[in-house]
Amino acid sequence: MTKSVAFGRKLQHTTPQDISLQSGPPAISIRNLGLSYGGHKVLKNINFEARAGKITALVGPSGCGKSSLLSVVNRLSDLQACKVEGEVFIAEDNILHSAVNVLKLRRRIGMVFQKPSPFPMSIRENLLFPLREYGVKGDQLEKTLEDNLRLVGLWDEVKTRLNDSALVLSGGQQQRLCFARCLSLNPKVLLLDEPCSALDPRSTQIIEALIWHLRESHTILMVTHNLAQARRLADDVAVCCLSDGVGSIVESGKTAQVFDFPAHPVTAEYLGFETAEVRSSD
Amino acid sequence: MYRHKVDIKFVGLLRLLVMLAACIVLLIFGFLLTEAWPFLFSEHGGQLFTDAVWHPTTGQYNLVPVILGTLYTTIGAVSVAVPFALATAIFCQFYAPRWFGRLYTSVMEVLAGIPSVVYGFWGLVVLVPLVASWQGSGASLLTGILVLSLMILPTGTLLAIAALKQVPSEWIQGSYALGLSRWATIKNIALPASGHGMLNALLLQSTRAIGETMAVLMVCGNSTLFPFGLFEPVRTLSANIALEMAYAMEMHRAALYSSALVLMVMVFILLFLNQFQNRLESTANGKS
Repeated sequence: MTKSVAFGRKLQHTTPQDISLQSGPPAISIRNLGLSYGGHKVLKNINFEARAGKITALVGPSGCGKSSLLSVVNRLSDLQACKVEGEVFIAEDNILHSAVNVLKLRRRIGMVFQKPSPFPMSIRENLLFPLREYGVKGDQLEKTLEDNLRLVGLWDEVKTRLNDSALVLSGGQQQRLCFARCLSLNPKVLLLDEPCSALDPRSTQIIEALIWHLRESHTILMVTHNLAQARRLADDVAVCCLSDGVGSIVESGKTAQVFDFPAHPVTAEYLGFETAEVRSSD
Repeated sequence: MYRHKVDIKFVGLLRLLVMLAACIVLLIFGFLLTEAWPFLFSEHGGQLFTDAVWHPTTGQYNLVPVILGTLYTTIGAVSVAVPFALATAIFCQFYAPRWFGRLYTSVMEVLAGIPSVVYGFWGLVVLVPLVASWQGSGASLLTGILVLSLMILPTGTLLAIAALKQVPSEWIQGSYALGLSRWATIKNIALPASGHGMLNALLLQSTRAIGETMAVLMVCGNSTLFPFGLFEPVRTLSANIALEMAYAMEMHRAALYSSALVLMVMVFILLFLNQFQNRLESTANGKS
């Protein structure tokens, strides 16, 4: 039996509560990953590690395939007509193996998107309906609702209007609700696809504080265009760049090392240019 | 706001065309009312609902069996077509390979373009004998319902697919990212979010079914008696007009215009419900 089959089976009888009882956050190891859409290669030779319980920022210019890379880690890429090569290990299991139970995998790997996307239902139902689908019942539902809304700092703002539509919340509140929805399933890995890019500075600050709070208990892989944000939050950085129209990781390592002493000329050019721009805009 | 002279002229032209189009509806309504007036506002007017039967040659004008025939065929056809349209749309949008979805959509578009007389002819030579071999004469309410449901199914399916496609992809993706199955996503996200479009499709198909003439005329048996069962012949309002207008004179003719007016009012009610539902939806969205 391959390791990935074991991973799939391990998850088969778990509930969101069981997952929280499992050991700490796992490391993610991406090896020789390639991705192509209809014969057109988008990513090639992707190799890097996201350390367990750390924040790894994935930075790089637009269109270099960062978000596509993220979608491979929870197999959302399966929904698109694309071909994935290589291996993605979470802990010791290759999640790209065909025998892996994808639904259970996604439950273990939370994802928050660039655009806040609460479902068109009440604030309460946004959190409760996924839990109900997983068989959580009774008082546990309300407890999970309150715990997770408190965790993201939203409880005091919405506790009196839990039955209102989630679409009436502000952008920042909606994004925090999406975090709460994702965290209510107790994932150990979080994939964040530019979670602050559509938010105002105040909301960005709150979300950043939340991401910082979630590190250590989660392995976080975050795509960001904001180099200052990557520097503030990330333990490690992987730089993705385009070469001949195909994205690849040109450099990865500890944040301070990559930012202060980039080893690759492409990284130096990208970071130098962007940093200068950020500083001038500040 | 500054507007260029060309814009002003163009907007003026558009307004004129819009008003002309709106006037056509008013003219049709006015024409029907004028023609039906001698019947509706004479001593015969009440007969539409009180006479024993529809038998114009003996001066009896009970339209209730025909109105019921119209309602039964419409409600029956919509009830049969909706589950199929919904199931097909869900399959094409969420389960079928993309090439199959595209192919199926094309087939539905072709089916939607087939003239109603072809459906009626098929019903007459295939369905009527089939139903007759089961019970009755074959030309019945059931046959009408089946033919009509087949006729509204293609457009209903296309509208249902369009409604599902309008659900924002981030909601669907967000649901999948939570590890929810396709069915959980369809049940909790896609169907509630597309409900407005689905209801629109339902009402539009109901208006089509209510006004369909040729096919139902060919397969329904056209009896003007009260229909008491699925295997009994019925006549619809539109078939009634098509069958009798050619030889109708004086009061009979005015009675037929009255039945056309009733048909038009039924269609208006459905369109009004559609508009009302649209308004409710946009008010709810505005609040959001």
